Amino acid sequence: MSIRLTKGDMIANTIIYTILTLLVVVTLVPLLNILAISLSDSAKATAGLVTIYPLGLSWSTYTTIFKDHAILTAAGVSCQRVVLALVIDMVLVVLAAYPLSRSKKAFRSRGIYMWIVIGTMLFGPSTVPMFFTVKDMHMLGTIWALVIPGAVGQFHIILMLNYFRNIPSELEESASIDGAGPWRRLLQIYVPLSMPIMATIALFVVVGNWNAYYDGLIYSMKTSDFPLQTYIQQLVVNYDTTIRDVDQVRDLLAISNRSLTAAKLVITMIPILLVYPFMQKYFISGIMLGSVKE
Amino acid sequence: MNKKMKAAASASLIAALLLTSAACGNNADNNNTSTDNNASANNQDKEQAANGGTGDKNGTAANAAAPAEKPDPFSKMTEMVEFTTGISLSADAKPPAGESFENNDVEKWFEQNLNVKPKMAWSTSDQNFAFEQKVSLLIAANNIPDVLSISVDPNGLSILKKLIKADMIEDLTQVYADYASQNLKDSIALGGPDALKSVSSDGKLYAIPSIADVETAIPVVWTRKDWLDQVGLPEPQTLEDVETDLKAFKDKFGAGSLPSQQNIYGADTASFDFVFGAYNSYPGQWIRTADGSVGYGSVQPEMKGALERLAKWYKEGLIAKDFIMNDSNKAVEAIAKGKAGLFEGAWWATWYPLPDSVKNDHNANWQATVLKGVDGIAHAKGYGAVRSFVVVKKGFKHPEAIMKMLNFAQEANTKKLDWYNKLTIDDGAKYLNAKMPLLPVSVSAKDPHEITVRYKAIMDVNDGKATMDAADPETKVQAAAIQNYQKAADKFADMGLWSLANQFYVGAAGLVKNPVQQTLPAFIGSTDLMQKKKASMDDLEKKTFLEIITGKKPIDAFDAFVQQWNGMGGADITKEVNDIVGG
Repeated sequence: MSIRLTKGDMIANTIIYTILTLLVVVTLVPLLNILAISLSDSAKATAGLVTIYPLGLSWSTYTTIFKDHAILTAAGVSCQRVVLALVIDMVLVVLAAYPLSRSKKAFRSRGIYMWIVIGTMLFGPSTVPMFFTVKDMHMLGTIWALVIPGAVGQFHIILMLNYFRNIPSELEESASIDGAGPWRRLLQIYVPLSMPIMATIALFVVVGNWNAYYDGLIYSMKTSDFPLQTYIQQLVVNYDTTIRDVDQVRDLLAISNRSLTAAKLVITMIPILLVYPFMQKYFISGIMLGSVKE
Repeated sequence: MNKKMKAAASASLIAALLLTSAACGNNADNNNTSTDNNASANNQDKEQAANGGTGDKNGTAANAAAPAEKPDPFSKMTEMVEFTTGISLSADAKPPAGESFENNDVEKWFEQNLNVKPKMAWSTSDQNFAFEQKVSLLIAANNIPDVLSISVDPNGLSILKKLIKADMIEDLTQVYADYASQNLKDSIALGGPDALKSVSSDGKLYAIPSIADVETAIPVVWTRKDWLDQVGLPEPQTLEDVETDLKAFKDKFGAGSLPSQQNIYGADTASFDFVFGAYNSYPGQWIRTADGSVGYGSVQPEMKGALERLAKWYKEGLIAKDFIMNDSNKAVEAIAKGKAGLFEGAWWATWYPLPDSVKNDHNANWQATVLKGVDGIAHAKGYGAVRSFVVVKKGFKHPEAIMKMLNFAQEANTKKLDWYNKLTIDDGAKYLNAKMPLLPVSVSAKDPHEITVRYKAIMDVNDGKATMDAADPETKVQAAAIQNYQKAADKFADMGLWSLANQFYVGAAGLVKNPVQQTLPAFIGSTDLMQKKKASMDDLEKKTFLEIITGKKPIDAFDAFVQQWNGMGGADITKEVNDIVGG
């Protein structure tokens, strides 16, 4: 079936596509710039001459990176963290969201639990008490310090429970008539129906954990335990700090090679870029269309 | 005011939070493995240490025929002393395979010859004040390692005060008196009486300071000699000359704007520090004012002239219209691109940002100088002489072992230990490019006017007035670099050599052209009131200065600003600072 477009539709479409194209350009240009810098001569990059295509093309930055142990170690820490966080967060969020999505009649103290969840969202802990807690739980310097403190995303719970609530209760009722208990209802009715929101939350968890750098700085007790973004953060050198001797300048120079830093940024981007297309297939609306006839 | 201040502010916030918990902590958990209190050195060990290679120059201390009970600064400990410490590591550290901070040739030497062994409790990044942040958190958790070396910048002295107040560190007065080597004592004395005073409290010495040169802070004006020759102008001497040069560069090369950035002061590269200095004004720095009390540089009347001059430059287009949008990396792009012929940098600009300029244009001939002020005298800001300091945890059994380590560190850092030079600076040295901390704990006390002194020594060798062999090891390295550079067929093949050779030959030469009157900070660090109020005061200051420079407000707005600043808490903070400095 072809849709006939009126003149008004055509104009609207043109405007929409123009805006979308502009958005794409605005998003892509900085990425291309970083990519071009990573493939350029460092002196040209420092002079700000590189735009979206490389000057003095060379792959040397990338070969340097793959010989660099530090960045590979950091990437390993990041991968470990993302996998752990993904598993723990998804399990805990689903288990928390399901009971909280029940009606007040079915779960009487629901309000209290809800407020506890929302309360921790409103009043987050500051750095020092958090540090104390992590230290007293003997997690300092372990991968768990990066995973456990942020394991239950309150925001994720709220997203999830709202999605659960929108699932027609008739589905659940029919399942209980067939003899399904709460576990079975959760795992065989709710979870399979919630793939879009699960994928969304998984994406949040993966991107959030991949990009976090501050906790790595605080809780890691060795530079070799730094996750990737914490490692990258120390490369973005700012010469505004007052420098006291020449050795310091030379140290800064060694790590502030702009092409090399750009190449490292490109490398850290790739895994996240790869995640999106794989997630795409879950973002299909209308999965429940026609499941209930009223 | 800038990123650095923000980092400093957040670090100090943490520090403020921790005070309460640190104060009620205890020092019971002392992990020191060595239990022996016997610290007296014996003669046998002393000889061993001296033979171990302390070099001939420091022999005075080791060879002195001291009676057995007299403490020896270089003798071996009678039994193994282990201590824990935290270090900062460069992202670029490349230890040789299988080696680490705890396991390397330097560390082994100390283990064998001094019976001292470090254990790394933790390590963190050497960037973005990560080290200070970690230290602040660990003080809060009452979990500091046995030995810590803390940088004064940005909040080190405030941290020291907290450590003293919380009774977490050892009083080192006696240890310093008994065990510090003559060389170290003499070198620290060069920093003036305030050096030790700044790390003392109630007459007790709580830390061993490192003394750094104060001249690095002097803003240097770099100009392209090749361009000056083409327009027929001499090297600039005053702010008027700078204006003339910029206008001439604009007409001839289209490079009429001064590389500048959002941090209008307190940045090494492309700030306006040289303009403020010319008016004898020191924004952002606590200084001695005319009446002898300590005042904040940003609110002193001298600021007015400098701001007025900058407003004029902005109006005339000598400063880019959008300079507020630039950070230092953006500001130096014009230099690398060949679109700037004059900028403010440090004396070490041959390392940054000049190499990229020279690589892109081999004709660029950069020369350095310090401008004369409006009164005909060259004025400049300075850094405090104390750069960092070492503290020892309360209850650590052998602070004298740490003191001995520091004695050796001072010898090593002044390149007087042959075995250490062989490992670190000689051609093909094992750790030449390792970029890792090798000394278990380190101080370095240098002449505060190290650059001037060193420059003269290097030039003496270079001009044949002194021989290379007789030169100090540090001088030798520099003089050899200059000779190698002059011999090199392709001057730009090795940019590292270019930077090293020109660092003194051009950079330091510019620094010593005119005698410079430096104003050193009278107070460094932050106070309780500052932590509460200074951020909003800094915002007001930045806003006012930028509005004056960009012509949105007349220069008279400065007076209103000073009044407002005092009202917002500036007067109280000034009083607080004077109390600290005075008492």
